[in-house]
Amino acid sequence: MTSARDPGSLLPLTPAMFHVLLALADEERHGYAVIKEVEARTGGKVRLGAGTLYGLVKRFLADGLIEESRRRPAASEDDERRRYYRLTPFGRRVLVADVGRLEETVAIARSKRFLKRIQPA
Amino acid sequence: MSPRPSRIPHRMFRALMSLFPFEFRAEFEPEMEAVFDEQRREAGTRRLRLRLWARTLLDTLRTAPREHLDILQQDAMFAMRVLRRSPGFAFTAIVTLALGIGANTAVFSLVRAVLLRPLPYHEPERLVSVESGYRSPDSLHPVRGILTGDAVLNFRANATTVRNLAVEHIYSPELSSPIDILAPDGAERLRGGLVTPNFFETLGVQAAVGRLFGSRDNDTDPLAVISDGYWRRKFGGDPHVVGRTVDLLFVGRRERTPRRFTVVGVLPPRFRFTYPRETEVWVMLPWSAVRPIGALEYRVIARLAPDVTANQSQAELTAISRRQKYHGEHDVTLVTPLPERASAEARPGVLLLATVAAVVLLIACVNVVLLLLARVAERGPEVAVRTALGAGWFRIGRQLLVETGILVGTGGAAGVTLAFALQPALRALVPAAVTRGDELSVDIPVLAFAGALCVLLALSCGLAPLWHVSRRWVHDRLRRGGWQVSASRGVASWRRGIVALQVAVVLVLLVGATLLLRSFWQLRHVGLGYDGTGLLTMEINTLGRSVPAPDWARVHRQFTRELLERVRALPGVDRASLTTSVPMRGVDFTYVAGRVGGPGIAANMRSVDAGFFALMRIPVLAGRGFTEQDTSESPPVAVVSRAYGKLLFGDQSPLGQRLDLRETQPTIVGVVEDVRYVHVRQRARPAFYLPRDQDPGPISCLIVRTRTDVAATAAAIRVVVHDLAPTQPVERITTLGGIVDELTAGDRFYAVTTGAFGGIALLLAVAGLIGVVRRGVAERTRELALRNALGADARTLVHRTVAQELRPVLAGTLLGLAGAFWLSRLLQRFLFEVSPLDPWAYAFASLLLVAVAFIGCYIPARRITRIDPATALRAE
Repeated sequence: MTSARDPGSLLPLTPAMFHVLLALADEERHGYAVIKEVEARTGGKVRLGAGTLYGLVKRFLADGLIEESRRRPAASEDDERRRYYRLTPFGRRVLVADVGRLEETVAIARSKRFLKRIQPA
Repeated sequence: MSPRPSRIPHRMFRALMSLFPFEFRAEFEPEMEAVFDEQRREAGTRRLRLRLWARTLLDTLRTAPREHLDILQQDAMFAMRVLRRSPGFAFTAIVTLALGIGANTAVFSLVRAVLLRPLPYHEPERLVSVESGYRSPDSLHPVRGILTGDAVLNFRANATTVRNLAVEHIYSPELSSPIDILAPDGAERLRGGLVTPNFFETLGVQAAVGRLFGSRDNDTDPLAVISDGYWRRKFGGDPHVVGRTVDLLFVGRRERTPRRFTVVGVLPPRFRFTYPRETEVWVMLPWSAVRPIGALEYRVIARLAPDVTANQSQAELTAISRRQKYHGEHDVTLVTPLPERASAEARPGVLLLATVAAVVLLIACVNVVLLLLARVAERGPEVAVRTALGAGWFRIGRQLLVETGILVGTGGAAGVTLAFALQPALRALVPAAVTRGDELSVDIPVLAFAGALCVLLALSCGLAPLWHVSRRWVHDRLRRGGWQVSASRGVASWRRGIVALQVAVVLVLLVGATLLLRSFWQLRHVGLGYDGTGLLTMEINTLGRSVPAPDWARVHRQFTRELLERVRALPGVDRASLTTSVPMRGVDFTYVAGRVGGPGIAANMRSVDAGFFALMRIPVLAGRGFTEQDTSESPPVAVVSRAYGKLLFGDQSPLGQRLDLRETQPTIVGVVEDVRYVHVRQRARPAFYLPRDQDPGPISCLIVRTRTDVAATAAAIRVVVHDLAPTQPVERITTLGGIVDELTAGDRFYAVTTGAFGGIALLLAVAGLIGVVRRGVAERTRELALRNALGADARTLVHRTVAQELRPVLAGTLLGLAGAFWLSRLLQRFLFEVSPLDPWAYAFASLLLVAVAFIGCYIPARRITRIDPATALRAE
């Protein structure tokens, strides 16, 4: 049912939403790992609080963007309180759509003369 | 496996978590705790840990409210869906609440206007009214009176507990001095205020236009301050009114030469001092005119000295007045806070109304609780399933609370709309005697009151189902297999108890309403002793003594004769007559007369002309009335009322006897019926009548019996009077019916409103009863179907059910009768010639209630005949 939905209806994502989804794009993670990943990827610029993160998790679960994973690491590395999340195919489509939207936005900005100097990194 | 955190941070984190909604915590708390533990472990130094705490705290404060809002939104959407599924329930609950909240909001707008809104003066609570009082040994409250000049001057010179004592000259008890204003198109009588120059300073009011006179003004200067109303009416709100002049004549003074006054200012629109009619023109009363000895004619206001209470001041002023010469043993000085004094008359009635409205609200509230409880029971299976699926009772309870909140909110909005819509009707109905009642409006504080009421209702109505939906209850339901099981004994008897109590309360209200309505009916149908229909009365204070004494009587006689001749000639006028006393206006003279050589007996004395008895249709029981031949030259005669004749002469005929009036001893030529002349409420008092020509007095009332349009006749009479005496105003032209309406407006108001509230309460109670019986029948469907299948007669089942459900009604009726018996004495002061224990009122109210309750039981019980045993049993 979720796959029939239009990813565009959830756009644009807020920066926090974007980073959380992005953190789950390559592998499944538990909450703390998501926070760490976001912090590392943004060079410490985005620091998510637990309340913010789980508020988003709640909404993503309800919207079918992420789901809980049953796979767990070895007991020695695990904390029973943790849950692991991964992106659903629909979540992936939403993320891709938002990246496309951002690219478009940047392209528009680039087409302006005064921004000519800015080159892709 | 990671080590467990130490306890204190753990507890602190839990405390922070409690800011999130229950559901959120249930879902994510362990995970969030795990995250926090790792973050803490990572933050090695104390400083980093502190920073982590700060970040977590901020994050929680930012995100928790949003989670709450989310849940609330979900609950609201769910509640709306549920309510849409049962529109009958929603409609009943909303209408019930709207009636309860609407009635209370409307009444509160009156309570606020009359009792709560501060008077339009500076620090009104520090202002006091000073009066004399007479504390008779057998009465609880002292009788209020007016201060003598002697007392006023003594207080002014010696009192330390009050400051800035100001005086208003009173023309007659409770009446300001009338002042005539002369204009080219005729004279008009105004309500005037003759006050000492410091009057407005004491009240602490400022002028809206110009200035007010004050203690720095020379108190003999002819300066006038006018009311906002008069400014708009006579000067069209002219901003340049200051400096304009008005010619004023003072009624009751010996000279009748007008004096020219200069308008110095206009009072603000909100300013009011006299009720119900506001004073229109204020002029200065010089302190030198406050005479130490003379008639009782001063009303005093003052401001309490700092840190002094009204009681302390009263003690001081009473002590001062004791030193006076004419001080009786029972005389007291009364110092009353002005706000209390202003609302004293209206307070009991307004409080009565507020109580009645509160009772209606209570009944509405009970009804809604009953409805909600029935619904919770109906929704048993749904709730049980949801509990089984893991929804905590807390969540279900909160949902019910949100549902109640939506009902109360909608009902409240409808109620406030109702109060808004009722506002003009209420304003029109409020009698003039309810001080400031006409200022009622549904404003912000009234809306805030309605809002507070809604919150209170939502909580109190929502708590009952909340209590019901405990986990234990749900389990109980599940175990017993759902909703078809009859309500447990406990719940059923609770419901019956509530019904009985509700019936009792409604009956008390109905008895009260019946008593008031009966009293009002009685008041409107009381025998006056004369025929008031088609009577037009007006006051003409005939020609003051501007003419020297010997001539005055002649001039006066000439004027009245011409006046009567011309008025009688007007089209539509059947009869016209002059008298010294105005019927139903509280003006009647008392005189002590007696039989010659016998003791004096007080009676009302009225000077009337020849046509008076025929005009009023007062039956002449013996002898004759007055004729045109009873003049100043003919032998003096008198007519006595039946009661006075009996008082004076017992069983002897008064005819031919002489009445001892000291100066004269007129012969009694007739006996007439006793009449209610002073007030509808006041029983006929003994009276005697003298011919006008033999006893001409200055205050006159012209009474006309007319067949045609009252307004046209009144206008024609004004023209006649203006022609004969241009400086003579004609006052208070009204039909007798109009005066009686005015006098009974308070009774009408309380009877109508209490009656309406009683009706609403009855309807609500019956609606509640129908719901309860319907619920009872629904719960017993299986049992009834079984009986039906076994061959029981459906009609017998109906009768049995009705009888069973009527039992709490009858119990409630008995309880209500006892309650009414006990409480109705509080109505005593509102009742006219009806005992608070009037058996007819009790019987009528009980019968009405039981009859309506019977219908309320019968309608839902009839459903029993429609139960199909096969369907009902299969459903099990």
